[in-house]
Amino acid sequence: MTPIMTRDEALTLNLWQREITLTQRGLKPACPRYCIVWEDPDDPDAPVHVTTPSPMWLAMAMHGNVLPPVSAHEHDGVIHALTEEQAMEYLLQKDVPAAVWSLPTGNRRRFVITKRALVPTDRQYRNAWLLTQNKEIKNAA
Amino acid sequence: MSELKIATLSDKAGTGPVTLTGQVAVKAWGNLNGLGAIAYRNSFNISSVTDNGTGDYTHTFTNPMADANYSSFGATNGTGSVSSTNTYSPWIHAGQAIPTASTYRTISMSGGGTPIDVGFLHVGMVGDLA
Repeated sequence: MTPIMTRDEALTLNLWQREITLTQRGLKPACPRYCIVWEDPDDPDAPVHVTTPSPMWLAMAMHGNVLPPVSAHEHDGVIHALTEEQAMEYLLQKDVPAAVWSLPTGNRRRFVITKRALVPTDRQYRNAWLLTQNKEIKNAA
Repeated sequence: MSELKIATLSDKAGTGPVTLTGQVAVKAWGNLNGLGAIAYRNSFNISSVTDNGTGDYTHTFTNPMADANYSSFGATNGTGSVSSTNTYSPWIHAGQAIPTASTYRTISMSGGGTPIDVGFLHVGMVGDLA
């Protein structure tokens, strides 16, 4: 599929201008299937946080030639098209505090990338939600 | 006074949006569904929303603001979960005393001061981008 924005063109535009341009050219938002469920090590008694990408950001990540390298978010350069799973790993490093994913956790896991459909939609007991430490349960929040 | 009648306004190359000089435009906005599987219906310059708890959301920018001295506006509507006779307001969350250049955290409160999820949370930011 021919990209509607090339790498060379993207490098002439600011990041916010790329989003406007892609919207004008008809890039469709992508409904996210995944979210990141994470605990804040600075506030261990708080309920888990659930980070969900915006549909337009996800569409840009999957289009490619738009987002800068995550390791130097505000620097020049653009990255290739990502799969949705790769986009979630990028989002983890961009929007979740580094202490969650970069520090040793011992036996305790602090985050999981999971399908949104597996996160409860019933908000009852929301402030008591915690990340399960049972690693035998796959894809569970 | 001059009158401009144009169909399209673009940058010098003819392919991108114009850069505003000496003018102010909204730099980020989002329309969030805070019920069920929380997600934006649509947005601009927002990469993600983080659900921190009931009515408590962090909005993270795709392109950060130049500094934390931008301004914001917002509105909420509880349609879908609560009586429309109540009123709601998005507040800057007490846990984030001031916004940062890359995130803005809000909490939706009922008229009685209780955090509450809302069907529609609209946020917008005005200021300089990085």
